[in-house]
This record gives sequence, C-alpha cells and structure tokens, in this order.
Amino acid sequence: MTTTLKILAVDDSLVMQRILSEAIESLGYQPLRASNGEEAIEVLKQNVGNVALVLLDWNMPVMDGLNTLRSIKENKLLADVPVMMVTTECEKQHVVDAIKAGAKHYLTKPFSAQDLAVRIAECLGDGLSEHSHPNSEA
Amino acid sequence: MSDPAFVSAFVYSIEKTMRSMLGTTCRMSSNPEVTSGRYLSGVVYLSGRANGRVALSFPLSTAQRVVAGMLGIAPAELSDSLLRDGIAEMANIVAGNAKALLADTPYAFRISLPQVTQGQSELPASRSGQHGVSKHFESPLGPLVMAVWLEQAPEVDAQKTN
Repeated sequence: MTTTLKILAVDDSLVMQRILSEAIESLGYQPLRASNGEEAIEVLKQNVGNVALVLLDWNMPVMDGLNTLRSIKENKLLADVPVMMVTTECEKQHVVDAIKAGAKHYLTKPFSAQDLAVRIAECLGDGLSEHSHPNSEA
Repeated sequence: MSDPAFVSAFVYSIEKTMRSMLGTTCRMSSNPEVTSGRYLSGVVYLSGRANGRVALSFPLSTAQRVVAGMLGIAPAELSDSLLRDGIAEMANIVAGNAKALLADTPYAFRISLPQVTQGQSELPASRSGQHGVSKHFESPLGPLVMAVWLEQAPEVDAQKTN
C-alpha cells in the first residue's frame, strides 16, 4: 500500500495557502490546508501520525500562530510534529518566542518559491529518519 | 511624518517583496504613470508608537498581474476572491517587513490584519487629520502607489521642528 505523508499549510491568505501547497506538492507530499489555528488543530487531530510538517503563519484571525504552536506542543498526540513558522513577523523577539514555544524552523515572508522549497526540504531532511518517505511502500 | 527613514522602510519592503515573490523589479518613479479607472488597495492599520495606516494601491490590471504572478497562473484564471486575497497578502508582507525594519525606532508599530478596498487610489489627501505621504512605483507588471498616513508623528517630528 502506498502512503503519502502530508504537510499542513496554515495561513489565513488563500493565495499563500496555494503557494505553500504548490511547494509541498513539488516535493512529493500531500498538502493539507487550514485558515487559522483552530482549524489547524482539528486537521492535525484528524491526521495523527500522517503529518510530516506544519507550515504556520503568525498573524491570523481566531487563533494566531504562536498560540497555535503552543496548543500543538501541549497536545501529546501532536507535539512531535515539527513546525516551521512562515510569517512576516521577523523581529528577534518573535523568533525567540517561537523557538521557545517549540518551532523547529523559521521562514520570513517574502520568500521566493525556490527558498520555500529548500527550507521545507531542510525541515523534512531533519525528520526523515523518524517518518516514512513520501510515496514509500508502507 | 516626512522622516525619510520611516518612508524608506516601506519603499525597501515593496521592492524586496516584488523581487522575492514575483522575481521582478519595482522602482520609485518620479514621473508616475497616471492611470484612470479602478484601483484595488491593500490596507494595513498601524498602532503603537506610530499610529496610522499604509495602503498599497494597484490599478486593476496591475493587481491582476501581480496576484497571478504570485500564483503562477494567467490573470484570466483569477477569481475576484483570490485577487482581493492576494492584494491583502501583499500589503501584509510589505507592512510586516517595514515593521521589522522600524522595530527599534520611534516609529515602532504593530500591524492589523489586512483589508482590501476598491475604488479610487488611496492617496493621503483622501483622509483629513492625518499626516500622509505617497510614493509611486513602476514595475514590469504595471504601476502601483504606496501611501502612508500617521496621526501626529512621534518624537522624531517634534525634535525636528524644535
């Protein structure tokens, strides 16, 4: 049986969701999408064990990225999923807050498509020993 | 409000965002192309030591080319909702980068979630009681206008006028 690991793109911008999804697909992963933190938590709960990475915006309605990150890390079922912040928030204090809350990587907007793909691949490279590779035989 | 460092942060952010997201140049224009018709504007409110708002205004055709370029599709394939969403995201990215550049200055601010308006271009004269400045840009995708308004500017202006 063929399994494809998933990557969750969380951003209130539909355009940014599509940009992230294209990069995810280009790397052979299946994109999942959410528009805010609450939606993201629900999607993660429905896909426990199948999400290789979360790409997380900071400024969003309903639940912002930092609180979403904290919720993920406080949930035993979800805490192991690596998170990369993808955000315009690039002051030093924001980066420190995100890393303290458990973010593994940090990418600031704007970025090129190539930068995005490279950074996602770097994140996944860190975790490939713990997860099956996309499209691998289960 | 006319502090060049404040305005330059937004100018730099626009040029960087167009280069990174669209792979295109974008430069300030001293002889702006006058474009009639409707504009789509992404507006972000600023609050903190500096209070006001910034607007990125695109003629409709420029807006379509910019958002289509972000998505790698033809302008004709864009829905209205995607077009507005893309312009909002552009404004968000530009304001966010300017915010970081100005974080340790008297102009430090937080940003709101972006909004989109449609109509005439957003120019400082359209709102009274605030200090505004606008800058015109040219890019291969078409012209655009950046306008920034501040309520009474922080200490920087006071020091300069004393």
